[in-house]
Amino acid sequence: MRVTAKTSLTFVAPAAVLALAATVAGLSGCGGAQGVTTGASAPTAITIRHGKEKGEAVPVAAKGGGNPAGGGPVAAAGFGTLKGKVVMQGTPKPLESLTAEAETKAPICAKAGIPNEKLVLGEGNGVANVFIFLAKAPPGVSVPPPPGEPVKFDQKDCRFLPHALIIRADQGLRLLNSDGVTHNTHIYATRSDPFNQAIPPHDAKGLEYQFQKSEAKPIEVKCDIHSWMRAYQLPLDHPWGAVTSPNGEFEIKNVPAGTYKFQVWHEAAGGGGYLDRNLEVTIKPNEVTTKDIPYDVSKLEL
Amino acid sequence: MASDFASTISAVSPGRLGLLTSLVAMVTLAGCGEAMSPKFVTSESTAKLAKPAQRAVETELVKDFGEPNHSVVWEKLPVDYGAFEGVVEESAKNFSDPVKVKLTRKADSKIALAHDDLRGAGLVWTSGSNADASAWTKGRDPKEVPLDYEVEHFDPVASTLSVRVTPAIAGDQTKPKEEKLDPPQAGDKFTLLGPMLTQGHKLYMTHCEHCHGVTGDGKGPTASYFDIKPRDYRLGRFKFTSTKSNDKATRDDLVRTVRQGIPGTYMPSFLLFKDEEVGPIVEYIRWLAMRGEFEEKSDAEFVNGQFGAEDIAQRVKGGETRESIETKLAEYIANDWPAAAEDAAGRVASSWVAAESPDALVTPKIARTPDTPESRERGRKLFHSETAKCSQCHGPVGKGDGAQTEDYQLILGTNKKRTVPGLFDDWGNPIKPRDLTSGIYRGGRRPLDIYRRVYSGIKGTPMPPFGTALKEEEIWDLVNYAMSLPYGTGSETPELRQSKIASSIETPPVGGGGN
Repeated sequence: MRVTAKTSLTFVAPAAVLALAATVAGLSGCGGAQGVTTGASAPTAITIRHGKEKGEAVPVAAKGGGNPAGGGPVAAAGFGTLKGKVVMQGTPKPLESLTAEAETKAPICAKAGIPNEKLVLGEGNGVANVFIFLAKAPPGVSVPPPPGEPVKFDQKDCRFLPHALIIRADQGLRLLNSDGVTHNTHIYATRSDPFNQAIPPHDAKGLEYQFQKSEAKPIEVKCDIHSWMRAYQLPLDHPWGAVTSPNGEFEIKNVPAGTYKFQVWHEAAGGGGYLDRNLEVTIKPNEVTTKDIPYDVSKLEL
Repeated sequence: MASDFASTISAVSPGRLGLLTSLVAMVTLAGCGEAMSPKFVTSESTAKLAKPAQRAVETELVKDFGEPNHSVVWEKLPVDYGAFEGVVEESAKNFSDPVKVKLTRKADSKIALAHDDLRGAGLVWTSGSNADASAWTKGRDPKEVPLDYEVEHFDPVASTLSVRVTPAIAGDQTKPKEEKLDPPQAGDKFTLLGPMLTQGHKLYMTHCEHCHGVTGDGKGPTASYFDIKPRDYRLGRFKFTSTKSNDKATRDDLVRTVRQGIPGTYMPSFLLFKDEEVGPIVEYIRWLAMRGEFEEKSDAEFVNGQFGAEDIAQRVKGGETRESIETKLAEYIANDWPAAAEDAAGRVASSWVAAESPDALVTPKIARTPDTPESRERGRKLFHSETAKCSQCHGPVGKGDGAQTEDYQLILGTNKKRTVPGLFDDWGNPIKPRDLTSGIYRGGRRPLDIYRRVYSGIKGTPMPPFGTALKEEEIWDLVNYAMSLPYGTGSETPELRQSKIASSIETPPVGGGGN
């Protein structure tokens, strides 16, 4: 890898055509005088790429990828609701509580008990904390502004609350701490810059963070001090997504009428967490579409 | 004749850098077996994308950054590429004639004029008949107009310059008149761009590359022999900074690291470098870091569109056809990618700009608390408290052997635990909490340095930033305690120990004596 003498022989670029000529000419002599080349002083060249002025940038094409299955822009011919329940099919092996782990490291945390939230089953085998969402806003539909209030994200009994969260990318996220211990909220965003900050004990005011960009799937949140703590957050640039309740139920209101492919994601599912990347649903104006989602036990990766 | 050949080549494939490069590499190899030109290496995350996405990212990188020996000065990035201003003192008849010039540093550029080698710098005429042509190139795709002129030789003693113009511009008679160039005339002014980058490159390849790698990926030839890995710049993350937890490193931070080295690691001190050498090195490292970060952010855009190779395999399994996905990817690259790339670069640029603002700097508002036994004792209590919980990693007496070091951590993005216990950094390397009794401080040994480590954490590592959780005086107490640890006294000062010894001598033995 070291650049040695006569690197001028490989001094290439479309611009440096003369140098190319020199290269070719030099080759016939194989190492004839090539100008100055000593040690690592490899010849270099510079090309200038003028920065584009603001506004001159190529506009993002309005058509996004993926949704609606039909293509073409959707005239907002009314809105409907999507609801349903994610139900576990089969009996998963029970997960160990994290209380013992907490006890050895930070006994103060273990007092209230630390449930393992990787898989939370509710009434009728409903699966909590499953994300159901559109990857992108349907083309041609005006996206309502995000709520003005920031979303609250608390740390209580050495758990993140909520464990699974959908947020608008342009909405604030208020990081709180109800515990008597310091937590550091470490957000592993991929498109936005990652964030890491300690939140002091009993901080009801907290700090506000804002994502810069939406994400394709939920990202992880960690506390480095209490390493069992995990949460999942999904910033979206539209409101069409929901997280299932403790009973596995979800409801997405005001979905523009049309046929869509929803993403279904859960942290304990194998293959990157996707239960379904193409859950096809047709929303009709002023109607409630019910779509139950079976979650086969074989999809678990625990 | 040679120049004819060159023109032919450039006419055949103008701007096809990759093609030309491989062509010449081939010719070169076939010819004399010369060393190959250094190349930037595609990152692991780019390699995980679908092939067309991978190619799109690689093409974009070449357009925006070039290759190690042919860098692109991309004005969008907050890099001081360096600039000199020159005035032609005597007119030239031909392009290849040496031109006598007077050279000065451009006011807003930090590069010193001491450099003896300006070969390769990009030259833009700012006055004279060629200035119009310079203006003509502005805003054009660099693939069409690679550069105006290029400095072929610079003699610092005589201040003479040989410049070459690409035949593509000078010789193309089909271009309108204003696009043709004349040999430089007396009084013509020009700006030389990029000397910082060419100098930085030269010094980097000599002094840094063998550990940090051509691409700045920390994978130079020597790196595999180290148990502490050289910094991989491509996350844009540097551990030891003076800035807040979510801010980048400043130039000064990198200058300090180059000058002081990183004690306790293989990073040596380059204290003997002159200012005009450290400056270009640091600027080149920043540029490499931005390149890597831009690549990472570009990959995130394609992953966001579910165009990772693994994503596509799964989508096919889920019922989509490979053709339809490929069509969508091609549409994305054609329609959305250019703007997404500009946006990603804009985000990279603004974060590096923000790091240099006074707001980013961690400056204690109160002076260091005097290093008294009381302060150390408060620090010791904090060290074990639920507020700071330093002992969790640094251990009960600061040896760096806390409970976390024996724990199996979860691997990020998975439900699996690691197969070896201990902590890991953002680069995936195992990392030990500092043994505070060793007295070796990687990020500097001034109390202010330790203060900043506690305040901002150590970026890219599990050391959290406590600036928002602890009061300033608490951080100073921790600093005083931590800095007392190498002397084995814990919270005991020599005075305190002396008084304890004295009191134990004075106290009569219990139950002793008696007749």
